[in-house]
Amino acid sequence: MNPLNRRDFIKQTGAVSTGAFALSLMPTQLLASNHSSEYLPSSPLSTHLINRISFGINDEMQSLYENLGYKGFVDYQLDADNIDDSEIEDYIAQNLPTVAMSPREIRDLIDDGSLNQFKAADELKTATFLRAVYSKRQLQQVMVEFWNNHFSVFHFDGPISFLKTTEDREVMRPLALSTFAEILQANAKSPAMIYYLDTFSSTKEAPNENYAREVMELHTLGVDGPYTHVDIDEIARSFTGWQINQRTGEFRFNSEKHDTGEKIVLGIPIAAGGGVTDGEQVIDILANDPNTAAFISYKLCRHFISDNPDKSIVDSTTAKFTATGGDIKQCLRHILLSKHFVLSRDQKLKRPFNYLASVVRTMNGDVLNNRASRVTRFVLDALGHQPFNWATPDGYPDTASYWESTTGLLYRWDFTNLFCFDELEGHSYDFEQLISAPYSPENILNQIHKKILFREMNAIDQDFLLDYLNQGLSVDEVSLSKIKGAMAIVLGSPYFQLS
Amino acid sequence: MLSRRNFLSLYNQDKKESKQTSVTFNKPKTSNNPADILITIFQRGAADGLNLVVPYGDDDYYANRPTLAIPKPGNGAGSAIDLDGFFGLHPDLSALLPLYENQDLAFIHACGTTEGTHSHFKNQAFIERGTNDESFGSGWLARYVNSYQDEGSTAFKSVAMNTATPSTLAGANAVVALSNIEGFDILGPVSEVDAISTQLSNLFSSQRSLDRAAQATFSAVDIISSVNTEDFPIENNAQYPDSSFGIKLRDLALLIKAGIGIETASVDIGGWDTHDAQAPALSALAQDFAQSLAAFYADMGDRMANITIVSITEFGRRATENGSGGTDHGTGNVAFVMGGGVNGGQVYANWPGLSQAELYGIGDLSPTTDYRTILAEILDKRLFFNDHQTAFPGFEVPEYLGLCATKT
Repeated sequence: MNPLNRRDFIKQTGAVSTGAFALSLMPTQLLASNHSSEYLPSSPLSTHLINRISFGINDEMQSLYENLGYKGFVDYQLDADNIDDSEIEDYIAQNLPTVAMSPREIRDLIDDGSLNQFKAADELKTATFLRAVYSKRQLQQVMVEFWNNHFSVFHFDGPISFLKTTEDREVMRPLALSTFAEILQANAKSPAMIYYLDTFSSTKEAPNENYAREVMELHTLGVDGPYTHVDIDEIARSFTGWQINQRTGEFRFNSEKHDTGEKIVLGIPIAAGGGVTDGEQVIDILANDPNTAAFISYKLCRHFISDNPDKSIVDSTTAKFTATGGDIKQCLRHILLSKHFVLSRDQKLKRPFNYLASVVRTMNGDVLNNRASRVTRFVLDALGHQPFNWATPDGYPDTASYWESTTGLLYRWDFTNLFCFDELEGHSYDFEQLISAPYSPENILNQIHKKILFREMNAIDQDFLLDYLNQGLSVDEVSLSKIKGAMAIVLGSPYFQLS
Repeated sequence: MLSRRNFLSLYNQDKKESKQTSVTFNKPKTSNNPADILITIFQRGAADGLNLVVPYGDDDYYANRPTLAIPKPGNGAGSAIDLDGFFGLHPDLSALLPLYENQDLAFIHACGTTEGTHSHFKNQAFIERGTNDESFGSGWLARYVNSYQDEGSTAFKSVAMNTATPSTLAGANAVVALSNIEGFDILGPVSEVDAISTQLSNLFSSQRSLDRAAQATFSAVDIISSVNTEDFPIENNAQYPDSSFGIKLRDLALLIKAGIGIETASVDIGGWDTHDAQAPALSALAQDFAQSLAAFYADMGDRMANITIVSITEFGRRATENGSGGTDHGTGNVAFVMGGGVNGGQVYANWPGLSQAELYGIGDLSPTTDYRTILAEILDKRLFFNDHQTAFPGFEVPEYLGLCATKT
């Protein structure tokens, strides 16, 4: 079988407007949500689960799953503190020293000229990618990424280039699987957030409403939440005097700048005469509001299930959130054990960061060197998905419609092609470990299914791949470059882009 | 900034045999569509229109902004540049003055919407959707480009100078999003890359939006590889700033000159959310914005007769300054429209005033002209599209402002 493919068609006809550009009018109202995945055969449940709660399936995760079973694997990953992660953490400690430094230590090094002012930011980006690739606590890393995105700040906004390091280390990582209220409370006092949303300049004479608005709209109640401009003003007043210690870069409360008058937030009074407790009470009010439970549950379902999660799973997750005081582990367990989750195969498109990490993970790649880290940062910039580089406080979009773009796909393919052919600066992988002899087309296809995709392609697509492999056949063996090319094809295909 | 040339430098230095594929195809024929090329610019973050196009004739402006107001024209460095005796231009927008004087640039003030909110994200989504009906998943520009078929249309019918697709073009049948034209190609060993591309293309042959994006990518790569960038130098000594926005407009100009079939383009410029220490930030942004647009205008030369550019932002900023030397979220704002068909050299405004009694909502400039009124007129008169209910469902388009001439 050899259907006319697009390039042949162009070559034969000289036409350029082909394929997708034989434009047919479609009901555009439907387009953005048109993500049916019926044409891909279902992946095994293990592959589905592992891909969603990690940065990509590999042999090691597959073996763990086989030992622990579905629920056992979920619970194992949820109990992240009991998973030994010293290997990658030791590497980070030795090679990316600013990740462990206080704001003051970093700033002192910048001031005396021994550290480039963006070095700390670069090291944090690198550590984030390396943890995604190598951490054994995969679900925790997924949630760290989720919260870093939910409470998005911008690395190029002044001192956030090094304040974010502290926030990642002391708020997001330790609290990623705690309760929402704990995360929100810690984030409100995080200097990176205090700087980013202008709380640091908010005084009783001139309250700044930036954080007050976004903490409701983006962090808790959601944009359709029941707040008014009066609530924004009252919350702004509550956080006056929340500042950053100029010497240490840590949180400080300046009572002289604080408005001690009474506030009423969402109808709940906060008595006059309070200090730092005013803001803390606001956080409590927001964390416990039913709209917050619904909004966070919706975002979790959208992240783990599909771009348009069913109302019933959002509602039941909301109920779990409310019943457990916003316990993130319990909410995740509820989602991951739901039938909605099981039935959501291939409904998420990997975002660029996740895609890159998954290529390296699946191929058991070695990227533990500075050259590789520079390449990773470059490619993530080109793909527009560099950690901490989203300029506005809403965070990177979590739906496919934003990421399905020409540039997005082209740079993914370029990365993967070069990686598979060992052409990518600083990157390497152990080919023999992945694909073993005999190098017959059928055996290679079989190993690609088992060790790279962890799923089977449909018959038509298998034939396409066999056609390709057969082009490189000599003395019954497929050439190495065809095998690498076949790996690049499947890693670039929908079977690996979707999860 | 990023350069795709750098992407090639990612190759492992020990392995020189790999090179880019080079595939040559016939140059696409340009579209027969006689409409203007429409370029939409989104100033993300809510630009402070009151300080960009200054209502210096309104004393309340100065009362509301004791430290941030731009002085009246003729008050030394930093004062506004007079436009019409009432409005003046921010001094860092001075690069746009010749365009205004050539009557190729118009401003629309007190522009916005009464249906919006103070949320960046909600308002951007609303404006890009072109309707407050959230059941529409597509953008207004997408619905326009999907409304017609043209045999001459290419993959570049709708292009976003961006890594990703902006919501304005969400749902378009085909969009090319590209952030940089250098080396826009599928990489891999020469011996394999064509065969890999062929099979990748085969594996993306379904009708899902992901597959359509993939097919658009293959087409775009083919077309770009047919363009020799050196054939299309910058013209008329245009000086693009070396900024992200400047480079996007420079690349867009090249693609338009290359005749690869661009019919609409979207470009973003971010950073306008000036809650704190606004003055220096706005100065830098205004310079970048104005110099980039002025360079594009110069570079395009006579081609501007068939190009219309409209620049909008999600909402304006509060009439009064805040305590941090910045401004908070507001409503009414200024929009920019430029092109050969624009009745420029004017500020279009049904000015509502800035006194406490005249302000809108919690203290905003009242939006007396809906942004869709501007877009509807441009679509009708310059792009021959007057199905306003398709582009802007539920919006009753009032009488046009007379912003542009009807294209013949």
